[in-house]
Amino acid sequence: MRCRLCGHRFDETKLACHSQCPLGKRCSLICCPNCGYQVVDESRTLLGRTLRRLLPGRPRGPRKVPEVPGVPLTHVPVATEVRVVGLDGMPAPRLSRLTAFGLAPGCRLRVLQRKPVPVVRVGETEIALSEEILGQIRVEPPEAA
Amino acid sequence: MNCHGENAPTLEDGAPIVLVGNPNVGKSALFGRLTGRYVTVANYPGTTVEVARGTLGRNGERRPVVDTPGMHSTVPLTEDERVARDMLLDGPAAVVQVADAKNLRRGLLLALELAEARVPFVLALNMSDEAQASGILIDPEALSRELGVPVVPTVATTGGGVPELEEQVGAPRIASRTIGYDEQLEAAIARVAAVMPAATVSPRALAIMALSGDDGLLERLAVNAAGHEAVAEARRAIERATGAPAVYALARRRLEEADTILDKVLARESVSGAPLRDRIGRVCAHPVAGWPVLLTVLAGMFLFVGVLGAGKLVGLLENDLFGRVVNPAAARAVDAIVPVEAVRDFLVGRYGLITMALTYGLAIVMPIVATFFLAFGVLEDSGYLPRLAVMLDRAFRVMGLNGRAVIPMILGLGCDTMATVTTRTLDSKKERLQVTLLLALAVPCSAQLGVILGMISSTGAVGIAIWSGVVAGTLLGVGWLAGRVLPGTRSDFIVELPPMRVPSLRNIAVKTTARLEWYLKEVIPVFVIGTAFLFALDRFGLLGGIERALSPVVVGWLGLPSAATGAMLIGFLRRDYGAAGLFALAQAGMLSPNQILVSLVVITLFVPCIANLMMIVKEHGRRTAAAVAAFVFPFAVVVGGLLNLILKALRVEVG
Repeated sequence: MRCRLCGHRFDETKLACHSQCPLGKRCSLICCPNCGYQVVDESRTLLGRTLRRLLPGRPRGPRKVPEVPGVPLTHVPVATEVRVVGLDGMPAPRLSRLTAFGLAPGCRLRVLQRKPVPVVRVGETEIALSEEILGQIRVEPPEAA
Repeated sequence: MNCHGENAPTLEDGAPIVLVGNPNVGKSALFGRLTGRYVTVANYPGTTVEVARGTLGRNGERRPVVDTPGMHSTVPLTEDERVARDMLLDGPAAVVQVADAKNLRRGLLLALELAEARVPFVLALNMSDEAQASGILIDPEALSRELGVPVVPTVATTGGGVPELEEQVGAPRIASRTIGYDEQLEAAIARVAAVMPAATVSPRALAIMALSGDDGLLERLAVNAAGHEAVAEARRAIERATGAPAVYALARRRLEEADTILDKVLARESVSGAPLRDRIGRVCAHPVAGWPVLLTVLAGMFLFVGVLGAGKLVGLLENDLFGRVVNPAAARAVDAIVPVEAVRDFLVGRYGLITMALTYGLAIVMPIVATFFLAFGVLEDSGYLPRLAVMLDRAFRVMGLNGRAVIPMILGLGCDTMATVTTRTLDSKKERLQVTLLLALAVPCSAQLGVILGMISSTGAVGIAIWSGVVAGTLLGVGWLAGRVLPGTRSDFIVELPPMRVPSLRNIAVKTTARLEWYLKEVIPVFVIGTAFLFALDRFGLLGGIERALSPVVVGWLGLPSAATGAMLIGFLRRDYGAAGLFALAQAGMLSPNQILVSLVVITLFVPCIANLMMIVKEHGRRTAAAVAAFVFPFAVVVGGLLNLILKALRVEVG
């Protein structure tokens, strides 16, 4: 599977914590070996399995996951300084605006707050922007705590 | 560039010196220092919507200087940025780029674009005192070497560095710094540059702007169909190869270059702790603490404008000064001098020039507007308004707008006509139209608001709640509906939050007086015309006829006394004038609390005043203006009538 935080690809069935930990048999959590991000393994929960059977969803072909570097800025905790690696899927006007504020790959920024509207600080500029735009800013994952 | 092209740069005396820069870097203040002429200076990005002109006197020769709206880059996204960009394309004699020394990185991004454009310029590092205070040390000589243009540190608020700047303006240079892009981009730039017509800006820069997605530029340069195709093809090629619009790679490279320069010219001293202004700024946009701040600000505005301005000052001027001194004295003087009864009546009668036009204009409207402009000026300069946009973004999302529309709406509380002009700072046509409509419909202007605040207290808490409910409901409901009906898209919410600062007294004083003068110059003639109109109607017995003709609507449907018709009529001329008429009726005890409430709702939602309507015509065209009026007028009457019916049916007596 692919970690939803840092994008690291790994095989969850081979995780050491599931095969070697004494509690591993009953553990229904999957931890990314790269960043430590935890998700619940749906196939190990009763409700998850039932719901998945009841709601089959549209059969989809192998979805092409575009290789986008970094993690979305929405996944970075407030006040952590991170480096921007890409601006993903933005129309040209949005790119023009953000880059004119000095927000472009290579710059370092900090999320100052998330509510009522996210505010980021790039150098000496503070910019308020919508949650949607925040999600399109890809940054280097912060050091795993 | 050759020297016999038709559009070769002209450095003759007529070409102006153009001030450009990011929003909120003190451009207008520096313009004032350079020319000695005052323009509206404010701490909100996008206030200088109109371009201000002045002259710079040096050694007896006078050279024209133009101030431009703030621009983020040479690729415009809003109307006012386009104005600024066009000034650059018009072939200025010299450009003065004003940059915030605290935020040199941003300034350099624009400087590099000017370097690319190969226009002669001088870089003014403004607010260099604030930069020093926050530990940012810039070496102007090193920066000047890096860019190849003169660099002058300035402090516009005190006038520091202005003489040096004036001297350098006479010797602008074309920057020596050039930026190279990667092979693929360079190839695309060369292909597009080949189809660009000759202009004062280098073809290379035009090509870069065109590749960045500036379609308006192609229109302006009258690029032919083949040229359009070449640009589109080059854009597609880059997008295919890199997976992102061309502007991405271009901007990225420019930012790299800016950072390289910064490394060489900038040193940082550590300053302990976040500056107080940062902490205050943080509180103002805080999800929890921001609300008490917002309520305090609104309550402060209400106390200052509603209670002090509309209550105390109006009472003092209208009752005491005009009611007891001016009008009786004028009446005596006129009686003594003027023998003709009609003229006497025209001057001091019921619809008299002095007793109505001047009394309304100077005694009711002026104190309210003055206190409002003062309070609003402080808010503007403090940097609070963009934070207000952050706090209210959610509410505006319901209407299909975003927080950026807060500024025109709040400005509308000052004057809807001014606010209609500032809708230019919004990105999309749809939003401009939507905000214009809401302004015309449901945002009362300061003069009107003051009068409303003065009258509404007699309707009690229930009345205030009903009035606010109807107005807020109309805003949200019509806004939501307009958001669905009007074609177009919602623009991005990207707003810069400038640092909070303590407004300068000098700036506020000058700004308030300048605005007040502008307002009175505009308002008094309209009041005089309106009064003359009413006087004529009354004199020829037409007023009674109109009152009778409209009585099914005014008396039957709205349940108001027929005398209110006059107030509604002059409400066409100016909203505040109409409100002032109601105010006078209420003071005379001719309106019950219920009638006051209904009339307030109608006058709030009522047609925009003539000035506002003219502005809508100017900004959106005659058709749109007619449509707005055709919607607003019946809507106001229908809502007022419904309120009247509901109050009657439920036997509610407010007050």
